[in-house]
Amino acid sequence: MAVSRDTLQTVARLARLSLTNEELDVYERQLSAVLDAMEQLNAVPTAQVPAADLAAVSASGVRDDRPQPRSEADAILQNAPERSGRYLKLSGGMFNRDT
Amino acid sequence: MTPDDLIQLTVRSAATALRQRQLSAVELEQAFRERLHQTEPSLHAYLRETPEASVARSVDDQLAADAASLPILAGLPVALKDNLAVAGAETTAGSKILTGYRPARDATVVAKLRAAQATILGKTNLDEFGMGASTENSAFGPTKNPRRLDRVPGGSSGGSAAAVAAGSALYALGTDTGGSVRQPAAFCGVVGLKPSYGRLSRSGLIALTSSTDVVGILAKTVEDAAIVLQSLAAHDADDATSRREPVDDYQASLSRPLAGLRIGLPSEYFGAGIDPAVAREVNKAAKIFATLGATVEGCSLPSTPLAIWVYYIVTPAEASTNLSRYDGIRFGPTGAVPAEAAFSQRLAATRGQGFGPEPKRRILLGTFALSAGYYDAYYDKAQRVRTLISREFATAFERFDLLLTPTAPTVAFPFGSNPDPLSMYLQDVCLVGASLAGLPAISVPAGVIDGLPVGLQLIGPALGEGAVLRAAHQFEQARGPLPLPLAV
Repeated sequence: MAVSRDTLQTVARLARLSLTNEELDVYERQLSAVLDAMEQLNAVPTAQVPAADLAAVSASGVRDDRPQPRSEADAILQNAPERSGRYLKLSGGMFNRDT
Repeated sequence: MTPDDLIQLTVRSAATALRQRQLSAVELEQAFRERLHQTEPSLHAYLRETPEASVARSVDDQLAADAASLPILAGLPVALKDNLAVAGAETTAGSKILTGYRPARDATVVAKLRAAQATILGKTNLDEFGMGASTENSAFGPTKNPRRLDRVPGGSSGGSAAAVAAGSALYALGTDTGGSVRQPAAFCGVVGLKPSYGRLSRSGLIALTSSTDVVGILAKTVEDAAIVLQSLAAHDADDATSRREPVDDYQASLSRPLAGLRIGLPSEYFGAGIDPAVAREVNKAAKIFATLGATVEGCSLPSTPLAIWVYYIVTPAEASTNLSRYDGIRFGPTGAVPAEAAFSQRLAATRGQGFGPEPKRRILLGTFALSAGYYDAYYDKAQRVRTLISREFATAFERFDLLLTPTAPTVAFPFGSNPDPLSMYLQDVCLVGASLAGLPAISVPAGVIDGLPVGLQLIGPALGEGAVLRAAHQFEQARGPLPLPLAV
């Protein structure tokens, strides 16, 4: 199926991805081509077939919900672009309205 | 031993030479680092080195004191794909959005290598987040194929495969989501093992497609791959999809004769889209398997041509979800926006500037396939056809122990020859079936066309690594070695 410019822009907004007009041109064309090719799947009857769930097949179960001794908070915080003491910091904008 | 001798050692022969005191771990590391420095300007297999001289020195001390207690991988130089977390060392997954990111913990497989006192040489190049079949999608520039520098090394684990082929790593870890260990192994003329889903821990592997991602092994020989798998396979409580079944003794069964082994040749893997010269080499290999005592018969897996489209719905869907965590708040660079910008604009700019073209394409495709109104037609449909693909494999494994196919439809292609995403996706046609079904598979060099290696693929039933490795090992012994491209 062809992806319209509107649909593509909605999807990009949902995905929190800013795209240039040039990128929108390219992806509009490429996604339409890929989705066209995928229509081959429509010819396969699947009403009686369950959806795959590989994770469930091999899942070994969850571990017991007990605190584990870890001392990695500092190493994790070292990666933050901005922080204030032991807090992650967001410089401005968190509560600004979308324009 | 000369430096050329050292870089041609295998995991097995290097471990033996260390214990016989024919060389030291320090000398071995030095030989591989020198080879790395010699080849990197032309190859770009590595994104960065991780120097840790103390490991080799400590191994040498223990070799002198009590060699018997050392793990087999001790002192052996390994390269790691840069989507495997190494605590404190920059880990980028080939993406600008992770520039400067230093994981707080080792991936479980990396922790196991450290416990085994392996010498970690460095982190290898990859297509961004593992999305690609050539390393052309790396944000840090492509890797070249050591067998011919105008050709791609394959991908996404192209850096790991090129390093092993060029002798700038003794062996390497990669990851395989839809062929990313097997295809570069085929293109570079080395062995690439994708274990069953859940056999090796995914903890600390930067996620692409959680339902197919596995850690894989690139090595010079099948025996080496078996040794490394044996050393790393175990249940891991940090990975909820890690398997609890006991780990087989892979090395013990390598030499068991193939008499009675049933190998199927699925016709769909030899038809349209496959270079006839590649198909010819794999058919020659089938005859070698027959002379080794296996029975080889044709069969059919009719859903094979659909697997690629299932894969390219499932993988973008899961990738779009996994990549939603990149927000520039906890790690990575923040997008440039005006000071008064709203948070949502800052977030979209961080992601728009940080991700390269292929991750953006897959985020869009995946978000689309998961969105209300399209979910049933795309994602749900794909997961149902995926069930059919798994069932076809299960039926085939009632008749056969292994399936034999080409690994890739062509030999290594020139840079820039697959400019549109559809043609690049079709590179994965022989590979994605085993990934979608969670099956073990290996690529082994089968032959050479105009100086470029052809890989054959053996696929086994889930947790059937033993049979896969055994058949691959005996084929490799019968065919003889593919020399390393030492001219690079």
